[in-house]
Order: sequence, then C-alpha cells, then structure tokens
Amino acid sequence: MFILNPQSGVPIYRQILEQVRRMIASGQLRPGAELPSIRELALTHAVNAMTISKAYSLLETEGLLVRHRGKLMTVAGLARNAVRGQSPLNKRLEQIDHLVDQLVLAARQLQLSEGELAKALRRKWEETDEKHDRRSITPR
Amino acid sequence: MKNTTVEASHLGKAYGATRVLQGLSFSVEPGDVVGVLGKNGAGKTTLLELMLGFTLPTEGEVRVFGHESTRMPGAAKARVGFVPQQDELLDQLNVADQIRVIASFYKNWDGELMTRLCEEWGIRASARIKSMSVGERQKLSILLALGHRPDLLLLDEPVASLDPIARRQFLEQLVEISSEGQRAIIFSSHIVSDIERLANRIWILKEGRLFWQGDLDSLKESIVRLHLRGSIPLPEEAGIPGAISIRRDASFPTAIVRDWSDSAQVELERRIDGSVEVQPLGLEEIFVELHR
Amino acid sequence: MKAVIRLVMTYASGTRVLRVFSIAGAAFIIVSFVLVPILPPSNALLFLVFAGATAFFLGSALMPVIFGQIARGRSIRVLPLGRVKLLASVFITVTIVALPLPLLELVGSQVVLSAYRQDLHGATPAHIAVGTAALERFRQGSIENFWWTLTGSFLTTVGLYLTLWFITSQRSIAGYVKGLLVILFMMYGPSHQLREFSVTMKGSLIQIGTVCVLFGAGFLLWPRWQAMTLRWRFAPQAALGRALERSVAGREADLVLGTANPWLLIGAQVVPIVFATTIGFYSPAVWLFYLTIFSTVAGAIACQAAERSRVLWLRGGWSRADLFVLVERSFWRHNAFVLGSLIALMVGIGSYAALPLSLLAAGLPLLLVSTVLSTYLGLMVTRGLRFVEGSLAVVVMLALMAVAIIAARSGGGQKDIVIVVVLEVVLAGAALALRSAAKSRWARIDWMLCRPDRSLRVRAAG
Repeated sequence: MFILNPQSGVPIYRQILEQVRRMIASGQLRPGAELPSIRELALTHAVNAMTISKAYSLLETEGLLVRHRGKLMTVAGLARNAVRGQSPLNKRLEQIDHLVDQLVLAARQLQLSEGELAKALRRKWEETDEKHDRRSITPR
Repeated sequence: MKNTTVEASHLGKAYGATRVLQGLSFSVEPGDVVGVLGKNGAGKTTLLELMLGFTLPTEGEVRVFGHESTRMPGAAKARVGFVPQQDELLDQLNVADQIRVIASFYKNWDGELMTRLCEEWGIRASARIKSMSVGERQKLSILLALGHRPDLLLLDEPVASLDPIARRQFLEQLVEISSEGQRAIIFSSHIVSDIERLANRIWILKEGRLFWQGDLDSLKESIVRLHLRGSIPLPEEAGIPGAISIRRDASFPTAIVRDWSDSAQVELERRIDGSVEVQPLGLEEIFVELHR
Repeated sequence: MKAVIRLVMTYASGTRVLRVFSIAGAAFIIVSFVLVPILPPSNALLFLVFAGATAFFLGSALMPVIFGQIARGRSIRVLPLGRVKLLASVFITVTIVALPLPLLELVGSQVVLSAYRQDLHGATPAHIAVGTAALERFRQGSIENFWWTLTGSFLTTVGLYLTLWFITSQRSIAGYVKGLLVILFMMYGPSHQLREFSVTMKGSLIQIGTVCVLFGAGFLLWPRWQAMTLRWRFAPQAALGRALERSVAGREADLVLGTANPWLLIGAQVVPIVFATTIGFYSPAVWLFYLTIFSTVAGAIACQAAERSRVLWLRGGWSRADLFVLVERSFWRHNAFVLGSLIALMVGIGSYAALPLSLLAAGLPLLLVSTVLSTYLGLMVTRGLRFVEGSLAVVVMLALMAVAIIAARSGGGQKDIVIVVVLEVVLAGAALALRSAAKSRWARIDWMLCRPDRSLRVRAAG
C-alpha cells in the first residue's frame, strides 16, 4: 500500500504520514477503509514496527484514523475534511513547493513563458477533473 | 529504573595507555532496537563485550537487568543472547549436535523455533560445521542466539557475510522479534541501510565517545544539508548556527547543520542574498558527513 | 631473493621475545666459534654451544606458524613465485639453524688435529709414521662425524619445526598428537641403521635432499591432494567424531572445553609406547624421560581453556570464579584418565622389563606432579602465551626432565632417592603456587585479551 524508502532523509513515520494524508485527500482511501496492520507492514517492508506505530498514532490524534480494539485501523468518516481542515492553505502549498520549484526551473530552462506554463497547468487540471469527479464522493 | 534492560554511566575502557571508550552513559529500554554505528576501531565490539561482561570496564559501570555486567547471575544470563563477529561453533560437530549442545545450557529452549528457522534459512541438520560456508556458519550463529528467546539480544556485525537474501530473512526475523514488544536489541553493523530499517535508536561512536545517541527519526530531522545559492559569498568565519561542517568549494557552498530553524533560514537567505535549500539526509550520508 | 631474505628475517624476529632469543643465540654461537679454537674442550664450552643452538632455534619458533598462515592463505598464489620463495625461506632457515652445531664440531676437531700435528713435530720418525696414520684416521673420522652430525642436526631441526607446526597450527588434541608422533619418529626412527649412509658427503646430502624434496613436493602438491581425497578423508573421521560426541550428553561444557574425549590422546600415547617396547627399548632413563614429556602434553591442552570458556560465560550461571572451578574439574577428569593410563603403562613396562622398584617409586609421583604442573601452567594462560608463561613453561620442562634423569640414573641409591623426593615435593609446591596464580587470574579474566591475535587486534584498534 505504501512506498517506503528507509534510506531517505525523510523518516519512515513521516513518509507514512504524508502518504496517508495524500491518499485520503485524493479519495484513494475512503472512510471505513482498512489499513494494514502494523505487524504486516513491518514485515513486508522489513522496517521497525515502532516507527509505523508512531505514524498510526499521530494519524489517530489528527483524527484521520480510528483505532478499533482487536481489529485493523480504519479511515475516519470525516477524514477527508479533516485533512483539508487541518492543514491551513500555506502548509498544504508547502508540500508541493519543491514540485513547483522544479516546474518553474524546467520551464525557464526551456525558455517557456509564464503564460505557456499556466496554459499547460490548466489543461492538465481539466483532464484530471473528469477522473476526479467520477471518483469523488459527495460529502454527507 | 527497575525495568531498564541495559544502563551505563560514565563507562570507559582503556588498554594500558590507549583509551578505547570513555564517558559513555546510556540506557536501553525493553522494545528498543539500537543501531550502533562507528568507524572500524571506534570501539563497537568493545562496547558490546563490556555489556556482556566479557571484559571489565576501567571506569564507570554498566548494568544489565539491574546487575553489574561482570556479575550477572545465571537467571540474567539466560535472558541474554549474543551473536559474535567471529562464530564460536565447534567444527567437528554437525548442526543438530551443535544446537543440542547449546540448548543443553538453557531451561527454556524453543526447539520448534529452531526447526522452523533452520528450514526457512536453508540449514541442513546433518551438515558438518567444518564444511559449511562462512555465510551458513553465520546464519547458524544467529540462530543459536535466538533459541532461548532472549530479552536482550546483542549482535556484532551479524550480517557481514550474508548474501542479500539471507540478510533480508535475518532482518525479517529481527523485525518479528522486535515487534513482540518487550525485547531489546542492540546491534552494530556497517550496513547502514539495515540499521535504518530496524533501529529506532542510534548510537554513533566516534573516537571512543558517544557522539550521538537518540531516535533515528530525530536524527534525520535534526541533521540536514543546506545548499546555499546566493550572490554574496560566505566570509571565512561565517556563523551558521548549529553548523557541523561547511564546504565552500566551487560556487555552491553547502553546510551540514543541526536543528535548523525557519528563522535561521530566513536570516541566512538575507545574508547571502539568495536561497537556501534544505536537503534531508539518509543515515549513511549523515554518518559520512559527521566524519569529515 | 629479497622476499626470501625478508621472510627469513621475519621468522627470526617475529616478536620482541623471540628476537632476543635469536640475537642471544647468534651471539653465543659466534662467541663459540671464537672460543672453540682457543680454549680446551670443557663442559662450559659445550653448554655455550648447545645454549646458543637452542636459543637460536627457539628464536625462529614462529616460523611454522607464519609459514602455515601464509601457506594457507590465498595471496601467496598470486605473488610471483610465491610458494617457491616461501619454501626457499623455510629451507634456508632450517639450514641456518642446523649448521652451527656440525660446523663447530668440525672446527673443534680440526683444532685438535692441528694440536696433535704440532705434537708430532719433535718426535722420532717411527713415532711420526704411526702418529701420521693415526692422525689420518682421526681426520677421516672427524669428517665423517661432521656429515653425521650435519644430517642429524638437519633432520632433528626439521622434525622439531614440524612438531611445532602441528601443535601451534591445529590447536587441538589432534595437533598435539601429530606433534608427539613426529617426536617419537625422530627418537625411534632408524637413525642407527642409517649411520653408515650418513657419514659420507654424498649420503648426507642425499638424506637432506630427500627430506627437502619430499617436503617441497608435498607442499606444492598439497592442494591437489586435498581436492582429490576430500570425500574419503571426511567420512570415517566424521563417523568416529559423531560416535564419540554422542556419549557426551550431560557434559556439554567438556565438549566446549575440548576435554570430552581423553581416549584419543590416550591412544596416541599408548600405541607408540607399546610399539617401542616391542622393539626392545628398555632403558629406564629413556622411559621416565619420555613418559614425563607425555604427561605434560595432557596439561598443555589446558592453555586453550581460557579462550574456550568464553562461550560458557554467557551460557551458564557461572561467575568467573565458578568457571575456574568448573574448568579445573573438567581438566582433572580428563587428565585423570590420561595419567591413569600412563601410570598403568609404566607399571606394566616396569614389571615386564624388571626395572628397579625405586625407579617406579620415583616415577609415579613424578608423572603426577608433571601433569598437575603443566595443567595449572596451561590454566594460567589467560592473556595469550606471553613471556612470563613461556619462560615458566621452559623452566618447568627443564626441571621435570632434570628430575627424571636424576631419578633414572639413581639406580636405587639412598642419597639419590632423597634428592628426587625433595625435588618432587618442591615441584608439588610449585604446582600449588601456580594453581593460586591461575585462580586469581581467572577471577579477573578478560576475554578480549585471551587470544594473542585478538588482543593484538584490540590494541591496534584502540
């Protein structure tokens, strides 16, 4: 379910945090969906179980996950809103900051104008809008 | 305090005039997986052997399960497992007999675990130890340390001779052990990626001292590399707060800093009139940079 | 050539202690060469010569170990002419160690010859004729002696090095046994029958050459031999090993310490002794002497106890003091068997050969004392074999041999028996002293320093 890179400078628990948040925000993880157990994740990725447990606990505190006694953790009902509501705008923008950086740098190197870049962005947005609509759930 | 698995205060070891270790103070709780990093000769093996009571400290003390390491009673030793760097197998026996010999010393030996692991790791019970390859012998050494389900497991370069598949099997076994909660594992390894996977605490030994002891996560979040791109060059004694090392070669100086903050970033960007990019570092990079 | 010289130098000066021995030995020998032509033959001069040769030999005692390590390594095959040069260095070392004695003897006899020739100058013609003939015979005799001594010296040196190799490289009972067998072969080998062959230059050189060729060929062809015989060498060894180890259940600590099976050592000692008896070797001195040496081997194995007990520290509830008691008991059990069989042999051979009762009376306690002494000396080795332990071992060996010789020569005289008994009591006291030394060392044993190579690595790393 997750793509974990133990050698990254980003700690493993943070990688899980960010991936879970992104998957909830994009709708890949819907409310009620079950997440793999800590032990299973630890064994699959051959990483310390405590770091996964840390991530899950933090997500639970944020209100994104719900712990059930004796069963797997699930995504909370209002998770998607929680993700959106939790992170103020600039924090979320921060998460894609480096991508924006790369995009602008590449565009400049290829001597594209700001308008051309904006046009490409808009086109891509409209493409994914359709896919996004089909998958999105109307909030209750 | 009572439940601490290993506890050391001002531990030191010297041979004649040479001080191998000095001033080590640390504690290991049940559930910790400690990765010990250090250059060759930094004292990793000595530290492990001190903890096991093989050698006597010349200063300070270290306690295991509350007992001084050189005076551990039998009950405490039965909760400790050790995988040495060079195996101590009896060449003339075969695997089954060797396991039987070690098992005879323990009351709570888990024979089923042994059989299962032998099968999973591909060790034949009838193989003669003299004729086994280095990797197989090492696997057997590791196995023999797990049979009595120790609460404290110490490993000295356990995977040095294992191929990637064997290493992965070993890692998975350690993950399984450590996820059972109340055990402590301390292991030294050159394979930093293994430590990155398994450990939640890191000890970095540098010249006989504990340069860093703390969470792996905090270590990664604390130590970062800064890429400075600005029009004003850094003067000689540039004070970058928390800098461990600064490289000024070429046009893009970099610096390794500890506990970098947003305000420091803003300040630095103003001083060099440019941008400062923060690059998080993997454990191997951190280790190498700390030794520059 | 450079490599060969460098290797030879390394053999002679491996550690500080050995370097001292080499230099001292060389000095003694040079002094002997100077003194022999000038001084009349005397016991002191003889002692000087022998001490020099022995010290010189001891100084290069590392050669078998170094040779074995290099030979077993892989890099020697990649170095240009590596194995040939290694062989050459060994032969050169053996020659250097073996030559002084025969040469000194030759020098000595030439001096005597020229002295006699001087005497003949003023004598009557008849005298001169007889004297010249006698001188000629003497001269020929001295040359024959030279070749005889050369052969003997060379072969003995080779044998001693071989023994050292087996003992130090295999570090197990099998190694000691092989070393013992080499010693026995040297002593009981057909040296007397070969005497006629050894007194000419051709004969002597042929013998020396044969040994060299055999050794060289064996060394160079060893890997091929190993590969060819792998299968059938292993199987009987394995079966025997398994059968013997199965009977150890309940005494796993003995297995770890290496004392689980005394019968191997017993067999290795009994067989050659019985064999020698059947060829008719009954001299009491010889018997006592060699039985004493054998009884020390059983104890010498104890010097591995310290490093082997490291495994036991973590596996059982023994404190360091407890471990000493455990190890002591284990070795006593093992050595009791070995000692018992040696004593039985001694009594048996003694009554068969009708050796004097006093000899037995002196010999039994001597065997016991030597086993005890060497066991505790071995147990004292908790930091690798260093100067203290090494020189103690030499002193103990010499003392035991001296007592054995005195006891054998006594032939029942009252005074001698008293001397022997007193000496044995002194040695027993020494054994007790060694025991308390060993005990206090074990109370503070540091397993990081147990093996010399490990302690070297630790010191280098730290």
